Amino acid sequence: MQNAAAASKQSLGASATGSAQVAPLSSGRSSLAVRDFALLAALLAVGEFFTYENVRFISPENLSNLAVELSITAVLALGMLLIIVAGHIDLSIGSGAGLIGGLAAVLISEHHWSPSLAMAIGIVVGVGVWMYMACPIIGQRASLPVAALVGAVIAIAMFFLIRFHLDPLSDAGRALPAGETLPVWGALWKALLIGVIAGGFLAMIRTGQQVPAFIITLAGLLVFRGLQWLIIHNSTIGVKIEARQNLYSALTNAHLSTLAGWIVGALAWAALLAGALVERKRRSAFGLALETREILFSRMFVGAQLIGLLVLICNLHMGVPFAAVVLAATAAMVWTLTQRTRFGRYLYAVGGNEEAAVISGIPVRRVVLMAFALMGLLVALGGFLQTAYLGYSTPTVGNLLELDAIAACVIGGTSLKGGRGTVLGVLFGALIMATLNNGMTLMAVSPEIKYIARGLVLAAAVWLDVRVGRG
Amino acid sequence: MSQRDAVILQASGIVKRFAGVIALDGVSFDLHEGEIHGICGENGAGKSTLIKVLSGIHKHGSYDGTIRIRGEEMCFDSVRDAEIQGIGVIYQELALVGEMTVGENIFLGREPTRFGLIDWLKVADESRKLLAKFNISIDPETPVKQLGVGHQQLVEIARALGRQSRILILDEPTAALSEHEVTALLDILRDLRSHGVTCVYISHKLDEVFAIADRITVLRDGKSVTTLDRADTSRAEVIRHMVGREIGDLYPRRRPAVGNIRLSVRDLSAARESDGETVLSGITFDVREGEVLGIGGLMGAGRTELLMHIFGAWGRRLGGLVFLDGNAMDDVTPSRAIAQGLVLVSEDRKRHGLILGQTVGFNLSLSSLARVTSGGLVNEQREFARNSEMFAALQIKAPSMESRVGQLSGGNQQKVVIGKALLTEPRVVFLDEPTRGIDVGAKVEVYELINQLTDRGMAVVLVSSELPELMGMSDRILMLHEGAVGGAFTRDEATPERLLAAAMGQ
Repeated sequence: MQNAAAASKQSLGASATGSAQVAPLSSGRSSLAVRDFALLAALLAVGEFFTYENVRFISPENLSNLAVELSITAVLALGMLLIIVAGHIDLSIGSGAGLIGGLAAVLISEHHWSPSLAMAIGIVVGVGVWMYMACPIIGQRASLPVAALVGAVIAIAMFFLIRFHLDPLSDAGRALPAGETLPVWGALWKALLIGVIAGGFLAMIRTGQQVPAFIITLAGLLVFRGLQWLIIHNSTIGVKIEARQNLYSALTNAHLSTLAGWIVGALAWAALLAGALVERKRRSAFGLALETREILFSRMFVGAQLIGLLVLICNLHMGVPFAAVVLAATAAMVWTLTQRTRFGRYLYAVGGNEEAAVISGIPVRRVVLMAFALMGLLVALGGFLQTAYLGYSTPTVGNLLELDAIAACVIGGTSLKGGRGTVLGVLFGALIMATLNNGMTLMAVSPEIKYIARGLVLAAAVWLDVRVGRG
Repeated sequence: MSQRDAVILQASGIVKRFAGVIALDGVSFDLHEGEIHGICGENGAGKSTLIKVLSGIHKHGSYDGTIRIRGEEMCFDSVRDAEIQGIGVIYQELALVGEMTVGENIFLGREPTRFGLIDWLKVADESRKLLAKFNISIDPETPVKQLGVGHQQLVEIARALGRQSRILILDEPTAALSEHEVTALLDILRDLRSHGVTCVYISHKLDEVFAIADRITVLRDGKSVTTLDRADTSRAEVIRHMVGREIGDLYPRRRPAVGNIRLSVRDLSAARESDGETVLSGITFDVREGEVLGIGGLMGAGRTELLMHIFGAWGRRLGGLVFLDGNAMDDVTPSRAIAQGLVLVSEDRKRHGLILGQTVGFNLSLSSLARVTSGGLVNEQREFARNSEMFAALQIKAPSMESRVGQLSGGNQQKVVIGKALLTEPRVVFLDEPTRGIDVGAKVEVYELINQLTDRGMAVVLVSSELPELMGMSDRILMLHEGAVGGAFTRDEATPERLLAAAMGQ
């Protein structure tokens, strides 16, 4: 076709004016708008208010905590970005994070599994369960392996449930006395039966019958919370044994040494710079429009300042939290996925106009399934971070995290109708939400007021979405 | 006659600017009471903006110039103000509530009440009277979603008339109607004229405008060029005013050498997924390299379904085989079809063609990203190079490839859809109504493009509901009748009479 295009260029006598003026595709990140400055001002105002109320807000210790809290909110919000851009919603991630965090904690504390294996199981469960949820949403029969995996998940859950609590309501929190035989095989038999029934449900779905994500994930919210309570038997399960640091607790407890912090910060900045320079070189080789050197310099300068500030402050306390590194890696992964891969383009296309996406040859179902699978991965990660941050899996871990994630997306300019949203925006939205929650905790605001405040912020964010979406 | 010539609405010197772009640049015309006034113009000539000014969507003060009704200057601040003055607009996209009945829709927003409760009997009764008055035979208690598009349009008209509209503005009313429905609509408009209703009829289809309008105003580049009496003018003259130049040959089909069979369809039958009803039965045809096969037929004959089914986007296969360059296309999905070298440009570009909120460049490369992906990542430089080549070759008129595609005119949107299809480097191209709703100049560009495709050895299947286009651009023509082949013709055999007879199963 390139030949045809070239030929028609001659025959139609096209002027070359088009290509000269055309700005390159990747400048999708448009110039800063009034809205961005308004959000920045809002963030600064919120920060100043909390500082005024309690000067500890800007202490290195608190800001270091804030970095960890931001990691939790942002990891989940980045997953939510993928779902919302595809035109769906996920209300189950808060209790899902609680469930998977709890599952890993139980495996470590009560079964003495190695933390890495427990977390790997958690990730597999997360990805599997989210793919399971996606099946009715995209109206597709589950493939056999997925159904089998879900059966296994439920078998594991039931196994723990029955192994420790034949009657979870009356005998909560206690293991069976020593010497008593365990009805393990009976339990597994029942568990597998339930697994088969669940798999059968998936096989019964007729292709093309779709259930709104809102409903499916609302059901997930309840089911996951219930499962978590069963697994942790309504008690408190620590993430480590006898205060020995392990990989799980290290997620939020570990900090890089001062030197390592500077090295990692420098490496991160160097990666940004190298990326920008390579991109610039290739663009100029293709004769594409370039940003001015001044803009490039100021971008890199501001980036260096921010990274340097983060490392500096964290080093005043205990060093850069490992969670921040996890967040940086997650953000880099999601950014690459959305901006640089076919999957990312397809995500925006599916959210923008699903019917047109089908006709354009996009495997719409696979794209949505993939988005949910990634969500499952990030839910597992967010669940580990949140549980590790508290130190225990408790019945309330992860409560309402889904709303923080949705609010972060919307504040960051993600359209709830789908098809629009950026990683940078979501990170910013997550920073606002994390700051609010952190500041309110520091001020010892009562839980009732915190609920009201979070609700109002969510409502305001959606209002903003509607206002901007209209323009 | 003096009653007829009384000016009911006069627009003078209307100028409307949008952030640096002049959409209307001095439009003046007047409507005589009880006439049907055609407005013609290419896409982007300012027709939609003019409607928005007349209907109060663009508020008084946001434009220059004056609108007078019966000599009195109007200052519309809202659509409501315009309605009070008797202006009713029937938009291309219908604004009916599908779940409600015809009567409920007609009275939507002004339901008659009795003791504070809605008087549904009165709604039904008044609706029936209204529909009967204008010879519209629809039961007011039918849910609107059960009606065809043509009847829905009539319900819209009845709703406007129910609001005492004296001036009816119809924006491309026949874009989605079958020929039969068009005839019915035109009859009803003539009937309205005899009742003294003034109509503004905006359409690309000159045949209709000439069939019905008393006078015709031509818009070009935001200016009103001229107003002509239908009796004293000709299609050629109107077209000349619309494009500002003479159009030599409307259908510039060249016939290249025809080669091997590209697409072969054998005894194809398919059913609708939702109710299992057989829509396509026993269809057989071939398309060769360098050939344009035209497919025609009446509304509901299964033209779009045939293309969509072969492309894997519609229906369940009951039987039959499809081969592309000798390879069987079984269990096909759009993505597999594109991979095999078949691409579809669908008839509804906003619904099936474009991601309207995204940029021109995003849309252009959407179907062919696999060709610019390496190591799992999209190579934006290569993507950009391919896109800009297509952008220039198709002469897409947009400020840049960064422009939102939703902001382009219909003709340029269609070029983006076609460009997206061509970037997949197809061997067979399905064009479903590629010139629907685009202006004359853009149409000729699309035809020229079809020539270039066949010159390069592609096979083109062209579905069109306009017989002149079908006859002008096809090398062979297949007429469908109720989901089966009603007749096949070479270009020389095809006459309008024969084609229509085949479409009607005779």
